[in-house]
Order: sequence, then C-alpha cells, then structure tokens
Amino acid sequence: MDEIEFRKRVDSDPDNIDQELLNAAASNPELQAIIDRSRHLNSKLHSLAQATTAPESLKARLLEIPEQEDGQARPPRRAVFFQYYAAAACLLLAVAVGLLMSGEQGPTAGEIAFGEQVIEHLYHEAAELDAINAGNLQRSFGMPAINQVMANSGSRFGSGEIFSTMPVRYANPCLVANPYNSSHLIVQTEQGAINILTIDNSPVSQEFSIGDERFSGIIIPMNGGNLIIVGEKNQNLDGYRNSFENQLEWII
Amino acid sequence: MSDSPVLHGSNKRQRYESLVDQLYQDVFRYALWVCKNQPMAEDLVQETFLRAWRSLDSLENDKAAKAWLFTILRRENARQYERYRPELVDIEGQSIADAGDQEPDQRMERQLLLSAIKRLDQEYREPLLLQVIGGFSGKEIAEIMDLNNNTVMTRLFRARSKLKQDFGVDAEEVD
Repeated sequence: MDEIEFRKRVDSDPDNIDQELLNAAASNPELQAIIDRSRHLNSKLHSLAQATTAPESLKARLLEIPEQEDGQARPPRRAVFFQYYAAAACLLLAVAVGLLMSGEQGPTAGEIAFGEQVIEHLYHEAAELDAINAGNLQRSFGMPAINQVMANSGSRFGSGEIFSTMPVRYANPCLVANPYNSSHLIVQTEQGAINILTIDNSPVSQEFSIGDERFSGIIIPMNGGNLIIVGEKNQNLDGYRNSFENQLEWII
Repeated sequence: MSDSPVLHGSNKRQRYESLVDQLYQDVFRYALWVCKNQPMAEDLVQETFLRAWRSLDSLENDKAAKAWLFTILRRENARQYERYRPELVDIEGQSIADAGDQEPDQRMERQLLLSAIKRLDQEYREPLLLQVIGGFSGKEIAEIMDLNNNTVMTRLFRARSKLKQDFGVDAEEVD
C-alpha cells in the first residue's frame, strides 16, 4: 500500500481505522504521524460539532406534535380535491355574478384562472390552516425567517410591528402558479387564520375578489407584484388589508 | 454504524417520544449547519419530526432511525428552502465557534476551523458533517446521499485533506 492509499483510508474515517493500517503504522513513524494528525483534526471537528445545543423549548414543541396531529380533524386527501373542484365551479359563478352586478370590466380569463390556482393552493395547505384554527399549531416565525421566505417573491416586511398582534404560524416559499415565485404566510388573527401571499410578478393587473364555498379574499396588484389576502368566508378582511398593503415592501 | 437508538415503548407515541429524546440534539445540530440560521433550523427540525411522526409506522428497524431522520431532514430542506433560499447572512457561525467556555486561543482555533469547513465545496462538506455530527459510516452516508460508497469515501478523504491544508494541521505538532 502506498502512502496516498494509506492517507485516503485514514482520512476517510479516522475514528475507524482498520487493523491493517494500524499494523503498518506500528513499524513506520511517518505513517503513525499521519494517523495522529488525522485523529487530532477529527477531535477538533467533533468538539466543534458538539458545541451547540438545541433549546429545551424545541424539544417541548417536538413532543407536542402527536397531540397536535391527533387533535386535528383532517379530511381525507381525496375529499380535499373533490372540495376543490366543486369550489372552482363556485368561484367562476361568483366572479361572473359579481361582474354582472357591478357592470365594470372584469378580470380576464387568465386572471380568473389565476384566482382558481390561488384557491387550489390554499387547499394544499388546508391541514396547516385547520391546525392553526384549532389552536394546535402554536409556533411563531421571527422576522428574519419571515423575510427569508418573503425574499422568494422579491418582497419583505419592513417592520415586524404588524406581526406582534398577528403571529406568523406558517411561512413557506412556494409556487402558487408556475412560473411565478410566491411567498405564503399564514397569520393568526382574532378571527382565525388568514393567508397572505405575495407574487414576484403581476399575473393580475386589476383588483378583484376571489372566493368559493370556504374561502374569500382579494388579489391586489401593486407596483412590485401581486398581494393576495384570503381568509375563511366568514372573516372580514377589511381591517387587515391596509396594514399589509402599507407595510409590504418590494425589493426587486 | 452510527449509534443506534433503542426506541422504548410498545406504542407509537412512546416510540416517538424515545426518538425525540435520543436524537433531537443531533438532528438540530445538523439542521443548524444546513440552515445557518437558528429559527430556520428549529422549523426544519420541527417539520422533520412532524413527518417522522406521520410515518413512524413505516420505520421497521430502530437501528436505522437516525439515518431515516437525517434523510427526512435533507429532503424537507430541499423541498422547503433549497431552491429558493437566498444567500443567508451567517449569524450562527459565530455562535457555533463561540459556544462553551474557551480561552481566546481556542476560540480563534474554532473560528479558523469553522471558516475552513465553510470554504469546502458542498459535495465535500455534506458527507463530512453527516459523519462528524451524525456519526454515520460511509455506507450509511452513501445511502442517505444516494451515492456509492467509494464516492463517499473519496469525498471524505478530500474534505479532510482540504481542511488539513487550510487549517494547517499537517504543519503543526500534534500533542
């Protein structure tokens, strides 16, 4: 065995050096020095790796998971998708009736289709919404994590003030509608969970309402992209709109 | 093989609690290296254990529990963040290096080692961290990373060679 092969076998796993290598090193000080140096580095690596410890609060949160999951009334997946298709038909009807009543020029077919995709996306996250509404999802994202997620859609919240009374229980970068990068926050309000989505583009150029038998919300075109606020049908979102619209900043 | 947890208890809840008790520290440490940010690491660990709870019945061999959890974490990280995550300001690196009571020389040494690890290409850093934090064998790392064993061993060798070079171990006297 040449020295390169010896080094390779030692350095690939210094904690488990096989007997053949140890025997070779026993009669060769240079090879023994290779082993010693490798073990020396490894002990420093282990020391560095073990230097951090997880907070106790994390363990407590992990141990709560079974209880949260068991207490969650989760519809079977098949039922969720059935709900969606039924909901999509209702959405089209609601938009059409709304336009007829208002007499205004309404959203284009593409914009309506986009609204449907937003609603579909919400059903994918229904488990989280249900868990938050049931009080079973209590985690709270801090501003650094929130803005990491918001960066996916080229946006950020300049101040965390808004979230002091409305904790963010869910934050995820996502693709609501390919190819638009989106960020999805679910905040807990006095009225229950509300979805805040931002899109790094403007698939919708005029404001219009979306909704179905469960959800109700609005798509708001802004200078940097689209802001979408959607809650359960019985929620009044008027009070939240200004807060989110005013504090949202577009960074690209 | 890595230290294998013994999942105590006969029902799912007890097995899960045993899993958390024995492995959450290692899972968190790995998550912190992956995320470089404590809040995100905690969320990633939470998602990992949530998915573990949901599919705990599929874990037939307790000895594979640790590798199973790390695999879930890597997939969850890729799913949630990897494609989208902007370059993070590494605020946790400092705290990793500063952790514990240390003399200034030791603190400096840790910071140098930390910097050297960060400078490794991801393909070398990842198996190294799985070995050092997870205690996994080359074979286990190969399974977690979906690589063959020889590739893993070569990457581990190159990772340590680069660290020695950057960290100056080959030049120094060993105690």
